[in-house]
Amino acid sequence: MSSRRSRSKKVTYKACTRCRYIVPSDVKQCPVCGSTTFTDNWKGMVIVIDPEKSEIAKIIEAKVPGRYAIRV
Amino acid sequence: MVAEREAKKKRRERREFILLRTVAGKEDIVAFVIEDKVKELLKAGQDPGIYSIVVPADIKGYIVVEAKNIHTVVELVKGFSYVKGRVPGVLKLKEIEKMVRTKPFIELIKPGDIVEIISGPFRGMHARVTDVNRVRQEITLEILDAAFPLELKVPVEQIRPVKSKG
Repeated sequence: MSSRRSRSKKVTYKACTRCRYIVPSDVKQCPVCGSTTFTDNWKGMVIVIDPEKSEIAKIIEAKVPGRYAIRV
Repeated sequence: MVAEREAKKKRRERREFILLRTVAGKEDIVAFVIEDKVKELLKAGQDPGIYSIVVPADIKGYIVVEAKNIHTVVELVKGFSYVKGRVPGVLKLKEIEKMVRTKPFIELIKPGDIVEIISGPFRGMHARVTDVNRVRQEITLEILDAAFPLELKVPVEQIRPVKSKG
């Protein structure tokens, strides 16, 4: 019972190898670029809230709000 | 044209990069909480003036918040136990650029490095990199834990660096 509860709480994430968008591990296709290749081996993260106003979003070329991995 | 340029310059001047000190290992949680709070405020029709959050890949215990001003960020994280405080001063965009514009993982691997295989039948084993194929995104490895010399090729996403040759 307790193991089921702890499993349901833990959400793991993976990063798209093409656009670095971070999605929950159960997602099959990247909602940004449509790629189906993901990796669990990613490090660092940029959360883009407003891609139009954010200077960091421009550096990482993020056009969609969301979470992006820094190193894939 | 000039007015437009001036407006753009002004907008840029208002951007601040605030460095927050967090409990080591809890950087992601702090970033997610700030993200949720900002989303809630945006839903309520308020603009908190926070544009992005950076969790650096190589620095533990710190996150960077890109915001219109410091006060909104301080207000937002007030009372949050995983936030230890704010580092005085603000960062420059050039410093942030170094943090977020990193080389792809395959560029960092070189022959002689020790890696761990993280998926497939050899999962958990340590290996030495003998060749890196950047075009095919493939790494040739020599398994260290095997009783006899064993060489295999694996995709780059199946390994994790353990020790760099230097």
